[in-house]
Amino acid sequence: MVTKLAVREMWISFRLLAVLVSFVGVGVTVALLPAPLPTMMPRLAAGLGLATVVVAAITAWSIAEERRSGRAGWLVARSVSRGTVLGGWFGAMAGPAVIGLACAGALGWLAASSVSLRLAPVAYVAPLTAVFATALGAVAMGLLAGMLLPAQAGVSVVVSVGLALGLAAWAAPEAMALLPGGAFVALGSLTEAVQGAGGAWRASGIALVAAGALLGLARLAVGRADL
Amino acid sequence: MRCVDVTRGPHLSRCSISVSVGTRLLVVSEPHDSASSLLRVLAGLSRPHRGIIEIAGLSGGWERRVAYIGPEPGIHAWMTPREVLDLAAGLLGLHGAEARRGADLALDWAHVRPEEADRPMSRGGASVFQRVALAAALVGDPEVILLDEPLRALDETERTRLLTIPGPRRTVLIASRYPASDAALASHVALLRNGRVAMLASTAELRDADLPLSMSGICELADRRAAEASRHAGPVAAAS
Repeated sequence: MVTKLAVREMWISFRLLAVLVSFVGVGVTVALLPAPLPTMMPRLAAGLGLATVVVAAITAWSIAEERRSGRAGWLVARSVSRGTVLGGWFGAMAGPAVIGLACAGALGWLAASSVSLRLAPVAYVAPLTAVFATALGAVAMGLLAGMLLPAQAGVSVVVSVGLALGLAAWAAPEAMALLPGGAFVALGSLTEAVQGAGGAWRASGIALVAAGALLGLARLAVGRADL
Repeated sequence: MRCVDVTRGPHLSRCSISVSVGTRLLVVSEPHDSASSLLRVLAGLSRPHRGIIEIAGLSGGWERRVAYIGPEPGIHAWMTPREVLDLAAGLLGLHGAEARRGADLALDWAHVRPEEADRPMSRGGASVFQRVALAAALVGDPEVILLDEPLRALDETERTRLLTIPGPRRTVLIASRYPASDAALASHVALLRNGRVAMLASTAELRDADLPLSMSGICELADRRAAEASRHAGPVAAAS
């Protein structure tokens, strides 16, 4: 019920469209600008990284606005548990993000297979899976920021963390192996010559652990938040 | 309803108060946020850091017996009033004819016109939001109603009429910055100072003391009582 309300609220306020467009737009851009794999994959990775930050920012804004407007409180005052409100918003944000990411991934695969026939599907799916896990972590981070801070501050924090991870990935890609943003480095470095999936699976694991930890913290935060 | 030593942030500090069934209590405070905080804690929107709260003899799980209306209506603008009431009824476990009857009565009480009931609230003004928030609060026929600066978008006469909710066993708490405008709604007043209850009195006591039901009148009565209490305590303290 909370997810349904949240999705409808996002649809009416064009935020759902923004989430879908930010991911699908990356796929479309990559598909419309054909390039060799060493150019295309970093573009795809950077675009999906930016879209992930956008999703985290929209999540932080949305949940902070739910608190400020009293809508979260309206539900909690009617026996809906705080955990259900949090879970409902996680579903409402993660669902469209995963759908948008799947579309972007499919478009990216079509673009990549049009310039290279030697790219193994598993080598492409592994870093994309890591990006899925990272997107879930980004949604969890947005929920945590939105529960703790007002909308603008929450968005600022989320964008700052996203940009810091992006800068780290650009400046020291090897250091990203142990950070949640490693998925984008693994996707960006994918070429015909480098198709090992080990790093990508490790990035998936790290991102999932980070997502779980952030969700746990968000659950603690919602338990203490003023709704 | 009973609060013992409830503490929450800077606004409530070991706040204790007991309100009997059927009381219509106006809660004012210095600063005002304490009164709002008390109602939000009672509604479950803020968690107290410490203390005990009991409503209808229960120390939890009273949400279905308590309704809260705050300064923000907390309703999605794209919903129609009927959708809001259906949702509120569903969350309270009311379904079918019972829910429809409750919704119709609540909409009628809140003066939501039939033509407004089935169109999105974004097409109406702030008063529609607040009327629907009131109707959604009343749909479950709550025993305790917590009003935190509600219906300020309505004129005073209409607001007083809507908030004079009948029922001899219904307990109503009103947090207000403008006690004079809520005079007709209250049978008792409570003053919170520094997060604690400094005074609990009936409105008749204010009248008997020739004081108006205003912030200054309530503070004056609290000061007189405090002075009287210290006079009584003086010789005892000196003897001990």
